[in-house]
Amino acid sequence: MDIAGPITVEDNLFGSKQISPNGLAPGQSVKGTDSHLVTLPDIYAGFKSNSAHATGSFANKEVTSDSDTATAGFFGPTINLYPA
Amino acid sequence: MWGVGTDRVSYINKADNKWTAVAKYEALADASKGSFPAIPDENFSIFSESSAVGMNASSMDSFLKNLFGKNYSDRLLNGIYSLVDKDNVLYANYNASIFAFALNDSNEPSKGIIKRYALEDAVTAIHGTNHQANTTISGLSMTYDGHIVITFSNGVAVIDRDLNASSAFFYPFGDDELVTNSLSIDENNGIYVASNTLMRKLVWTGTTLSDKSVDGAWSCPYTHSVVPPGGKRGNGTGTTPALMGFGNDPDKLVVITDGAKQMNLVAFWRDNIPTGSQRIAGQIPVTCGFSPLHEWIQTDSSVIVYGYGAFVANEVPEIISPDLEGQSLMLNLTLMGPAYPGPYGVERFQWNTSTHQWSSVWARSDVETDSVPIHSQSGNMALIGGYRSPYGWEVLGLDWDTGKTVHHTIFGDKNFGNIGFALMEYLKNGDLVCNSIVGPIRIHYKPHPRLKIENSVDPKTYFKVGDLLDYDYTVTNTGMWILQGL
Repeated sequence: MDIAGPITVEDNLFGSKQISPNGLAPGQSVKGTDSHLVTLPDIYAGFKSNSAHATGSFANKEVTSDSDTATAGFFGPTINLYPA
Repeated sequence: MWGVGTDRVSYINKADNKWTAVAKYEALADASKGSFPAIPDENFSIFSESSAVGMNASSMDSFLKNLFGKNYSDRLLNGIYSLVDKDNVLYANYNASIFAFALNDSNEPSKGIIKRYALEDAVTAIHGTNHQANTTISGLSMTYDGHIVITFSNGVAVIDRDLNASSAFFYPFGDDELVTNSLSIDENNGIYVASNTLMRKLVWTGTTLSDKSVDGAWSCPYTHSVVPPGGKRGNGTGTTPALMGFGNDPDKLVVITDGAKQMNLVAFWRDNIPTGSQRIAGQIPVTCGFSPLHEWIQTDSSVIVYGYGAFVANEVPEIISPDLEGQSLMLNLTLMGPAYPGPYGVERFQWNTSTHQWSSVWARSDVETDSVPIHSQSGNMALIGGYRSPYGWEVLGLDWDTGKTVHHTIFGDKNFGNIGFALMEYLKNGDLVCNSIVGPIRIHYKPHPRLKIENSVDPKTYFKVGDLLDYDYTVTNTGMWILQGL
């Protein structure tokens, strides 16, 4: 079955964004990218997570995906405080 | 609505969009005088809910004998040719007989089905007691003036609808000919039937079956070779002739596949032969996209025709397991696919009415077939049933123009999904009827729309302030239609 467009993605970092004005045929995919500028608080926190879900429609009813989370980790560089 | 099985006929109430059998007649038990007793519905259910995965020829043979009797394999070809006349009388073949069934009370179908007419032991009744040994019924149809036409393995008969043998007119074929398929009839009562060596047009004049050219009749040799492995009968065509071109269409053709090991799609002119041509208007090899070609590309299912398009399916596996060599058609039907390699490959062709030539439009060597294909006009697709891992039994819709998969119904491994070379049909509400190996299945599709998102980010762990983190999304339509009402 076709999922009607527009296909939007909503996440906790960037809000809602349309990634395709068109629908999706069975098995068809569409890709999108959002870029986040790393900040000092991000480094202190040690990671930055982004949870996103997608939305389209079928028979004029909203279809929403489960959310998926991607996490970037910040672990370096380190300073050796106790040189030999 | 009539239902016709290999053992019984039923009358089905379609009210309220529900199908309920309100009357049945154990036709095979009657025709065989008890040598094929009626089978309890429970036995069909046991088989339906079982799977052939992991079985072999020996274990399946034992399983089928337990459920359907020692002579189970001879049950299969009963009731496979049937028709209904304008008076709602159903004609069908059981054992060696042809029966005409009617409702006991047309206003009250639950009062049962009666056998209105019978042509008991049709071969002897029409051919006499000195008929050829092993003569069988291989098809049933009706002329446009309301006569029943019976194809025998050695000829064609026309008989009144009351099945009175004295009204029968029989046209015998040559002693070296064998007919293994049914027939087609055009609007002028041209009767098209193929033996293993000749494509014939006979003409029903209203009083006789004519083979005279003055009446429009003709015959034409075509290529035949040897009997293929895997259950197909005879060394000629496996297809009932299909008519192509009607009304004001420019070319009027009749289409079969021939008996070559790697078969050809063959078109014959139905009527007059255009100047410069010959009776065979054109033929083209069927490859199904195999490279290299398989040793056998053959079919037992009619060519599917829509407009001047044609669709054929290969029904001989590339590898025939020694376990199945010489085994019954029933064992081949139940085991090919889930237990032994099944037949792959289909191809779509187009007839050019200007150049009078075939061309291949597309082929799919990756799809398996165990059904008589059909064409869906509303879906613009060819529909086939088959078995493939990991889906199990499935129905595939292949776009008529491109061959791409546009419909996929997945049944899984249970035997009820084995269509067993029966017919499928879409109803007006979108339900699919599969006449499976254990009886008809009506499928209602419930929408199950789904989206899936995959979110990823650069896996490296060294970032500094001001770097860009790219979160990449992939959103996929994973929706499907869920089957209900099986």
